[in-house]
Amino acid sequence: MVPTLLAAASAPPPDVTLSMIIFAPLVGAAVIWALPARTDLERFRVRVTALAFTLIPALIATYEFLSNVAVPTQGALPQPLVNATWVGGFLVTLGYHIGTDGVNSLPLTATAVAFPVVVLASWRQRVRSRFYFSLLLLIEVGVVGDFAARDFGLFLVFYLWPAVPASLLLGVFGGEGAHRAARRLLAVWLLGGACLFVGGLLLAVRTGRHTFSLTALTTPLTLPHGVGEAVFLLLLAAALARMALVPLHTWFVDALGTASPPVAMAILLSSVPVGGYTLIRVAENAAPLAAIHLATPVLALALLSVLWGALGAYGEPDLRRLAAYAAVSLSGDVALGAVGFSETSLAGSLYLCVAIALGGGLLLLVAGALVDRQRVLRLSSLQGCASRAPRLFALWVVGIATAAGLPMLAGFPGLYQVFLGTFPGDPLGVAAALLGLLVLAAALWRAAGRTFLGAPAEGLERVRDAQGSEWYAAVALVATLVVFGVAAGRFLGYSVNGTDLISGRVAAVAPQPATHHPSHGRTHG
Amino acid sequence: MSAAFLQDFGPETVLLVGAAAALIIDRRGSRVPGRGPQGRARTGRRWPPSGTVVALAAVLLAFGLSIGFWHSSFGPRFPDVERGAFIIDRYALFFHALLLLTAGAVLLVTNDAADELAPHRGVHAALVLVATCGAMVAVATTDLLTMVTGLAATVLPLCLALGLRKLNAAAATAAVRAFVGSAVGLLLVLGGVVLLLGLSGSTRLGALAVRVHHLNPGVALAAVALVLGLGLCLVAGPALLWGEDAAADAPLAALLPMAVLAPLTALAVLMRVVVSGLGAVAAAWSGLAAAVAALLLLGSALLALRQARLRRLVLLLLAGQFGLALAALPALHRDGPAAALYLLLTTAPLAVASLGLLPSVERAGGDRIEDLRGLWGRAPLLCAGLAVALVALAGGPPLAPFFARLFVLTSAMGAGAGWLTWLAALAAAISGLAVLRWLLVLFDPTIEGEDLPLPGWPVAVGLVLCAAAVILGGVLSGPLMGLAARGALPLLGG
Repeated sequence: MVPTLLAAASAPPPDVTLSMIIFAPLVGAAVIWALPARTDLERFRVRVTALAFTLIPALIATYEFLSNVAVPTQGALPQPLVNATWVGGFLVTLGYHIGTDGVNSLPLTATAVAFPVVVLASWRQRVRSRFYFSLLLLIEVGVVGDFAARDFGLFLVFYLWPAVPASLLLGVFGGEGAHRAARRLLAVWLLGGACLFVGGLLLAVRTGRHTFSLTALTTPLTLPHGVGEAVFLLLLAAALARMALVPLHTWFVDALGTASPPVAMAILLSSVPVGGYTLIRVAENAAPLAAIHLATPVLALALLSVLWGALGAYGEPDLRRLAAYAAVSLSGDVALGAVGFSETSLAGSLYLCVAIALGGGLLLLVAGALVDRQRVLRLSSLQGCASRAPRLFALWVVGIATAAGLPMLAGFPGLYQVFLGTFPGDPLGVAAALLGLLVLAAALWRAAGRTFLGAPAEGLERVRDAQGSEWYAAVALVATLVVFGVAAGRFLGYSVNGTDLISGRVAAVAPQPATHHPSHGRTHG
Repeated sequence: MSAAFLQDFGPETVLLVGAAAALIIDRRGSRVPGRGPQGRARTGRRWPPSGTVVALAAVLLAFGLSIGFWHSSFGPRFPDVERGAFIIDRYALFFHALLLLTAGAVLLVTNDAADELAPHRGVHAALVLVATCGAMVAVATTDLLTMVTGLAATVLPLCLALGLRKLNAAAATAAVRAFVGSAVGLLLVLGGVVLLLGLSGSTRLGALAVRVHHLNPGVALAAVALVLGLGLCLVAGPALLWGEDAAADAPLAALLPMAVLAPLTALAVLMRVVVSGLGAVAAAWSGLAAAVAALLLLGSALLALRQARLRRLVLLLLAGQFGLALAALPALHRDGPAAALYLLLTTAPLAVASLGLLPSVERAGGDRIEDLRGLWGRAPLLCAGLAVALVALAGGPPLAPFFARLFVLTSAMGAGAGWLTWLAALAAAISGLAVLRWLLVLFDPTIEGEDLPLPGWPVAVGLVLCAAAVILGGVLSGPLMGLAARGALPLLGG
């Protein structure tokens, strides 16, 4: 008895850091729910509470991330790790298994850092503020939890978690056509969830592992004939639904085109990064051989998205939809890196996910600010507004530079790594993606020219520059983009150590004598 | 009546005594001016009437006795009644506890709604107790005829409760529909029992397991009759809402026990029959059970998509959720029973909570979708509760029904019914869309009308307990699944 107690006392306490990062916003949502919100002061308290409960995970996640990246080789080791059985003794064991490593640490931290910005951008929210902010915090729980989960059941829970809050926020607080957009968003996310559900069950049952642990499920290199392909296709569908790749992009464009700017940012944060992560961490890791077999169709979809998104942005007169198309195009680059299968391209894809979420968020913030004040959607009605809104113009330029992959901003390292890692295996694909990127950059510059520059259009008196919370939110986003752009070398080494495990699994099953296949584009970054 | 009988059938006896007491108190109370149920309704007091309090006390006492049995160290007990026709094993005790908890919650949450049954509130409470007693008998017997009797004792009092407002044409219509539907279901079950009696010479499950081990047309027909009959009892609640008139005026206080106790009992009986009696001829019923599950899941989700009335939406989604238990039947020899029991354990409080909220919500002016526009602005707590209930009915995470779906479909996949998994996931997505349509209306910024009053404290206590079960059931799915697994063990020969 005594030795048992002594052993229990000397055992290290369970690491609750990651659980705090995941569930602090949930506690915040509960606290907000309990607060009154009748007067301006009470609503102010609601906003401050929301900000506090998003800052807590952001600060903890940043501290943990900076500690981890100091030792790049730790990217291959899950840190910190909680692995407790949740439901045992059943056909398949479900666990509360969470941890961070080189694959998920970056998107997790970036998401945690971005949500305080979303709250800040929502500072003017007066109507139904408790409802609004509690839903926003619930979305954060789902997104951060998704990245942290290392058990498939838990991953599924967090994957589906933000669907209802996001569609409610979009439907209730969005503009014209928001109800329809919310229904489409929910339909696509739920269908994605259904695919993930069936794919995961198939994986858990047919591998004979009888566990939902992602570590155990992704241990066998090959799955029974046909099962691997089915699993990969289902998991791929789940990933594509969230990544908004063509042809599953219309919900995304509609949602971002009708949502209020902060809600659009939240939707963007919970879509492209989660989708890209699902594709790399879950789909390719679970069925590497099937991923190689089906790499060509995925590559085709990726390139189609790159070009379609760029052309869509070129022809789009609505600023918010234009930003959405830009995200679709860059999302194609994420998929391109994912089927590059090298540790460099995979790390680049994850980095690009973060850049899309942050840079796209900035574009949406600027577009929303202009549209809300001018109450017009078309670019021509805003011509020459740079003179009245120089800060918004500057922010739009930063957003464009991120999307175009200019150095010193987060977009550059992501795109660079994707192209570098994919080029040896598929130079033509990279060339097509570069062409798409050029078209996208041209579209964004053209939009900037038509919106901000030139002779001022009639009726621009309502246009005001960014100020107050909106300005602080935008500055925080720009600062984050710069940090991720400048310190990329410091972060990427850690990421590459994590993605090396996935690319190693793919390389282990890749047919060796082949001469022209994306899987052979292994590049050591 | 021997001491041993009282020990074995203590909970049932307590319920019957409680029902009789509730009836007597109701009769006495209604004779004294100002003290009966009508008097309470006039004064607006929320304290439950004496009849309901007695019924609640009886349920509590019976629950305590059942829990005592669960914790006593025993294998299955065979009370000396009808030569061992009854069995008190952990499966029976699991359902005893669940049925009693459900009955208690039903009595609590219908405290306000039962006013519309005045002057028969005591009768309502008594009928709920009798139905619960019938259900407890049905789940604790190994004799098919006794099962049918228990099932009838469950369903028929509930039909009677629906007809308590006999002067209201719509309520009477609802009662007749429920009665006809249940009677057809019971007749089908009886037909199946008679066929099995003819084939095996016995109505005991033990004898059936020994003598019926070859699939032939007779066995297949009997299995079909049993599954369809019990399936009809399962959907008796939603079926009676076929017409608009019945949906509008069926008293919720009577509708609620019908929509919860009947499917619980039907599924408990079905599982015992097919596993303990017809396990050797699984091919006769597993496909049909899966087909019925698929029909219920997809049918209810598709019908829910266009529903403009909240009652019908909730009842349809509940039918789908209960029907999901049938999806575990093909895996009955593995982890299916445990998953099905977990599903019922979480669906029962969900059903009580979602239907129990309706009387309070309907004070907004009705249960049509346009009546509830902007409910959040008029009653935030009610609206939030309703939103959680609807999301749970659609199987949204991290609520308990989501995990129930996960477990049931995992076992179905393990039994080779992958198509059912795919279909259930699709049905969940469709249900999610149906629910979103309502959520967008509930949280609409438009506010029309005055603030709605909160329900009385007994209703609030019942709703909070059920909501807590739905919300925490997911987090506590480990221990609850363990409980369900122990409950299912007797079915698997443990």
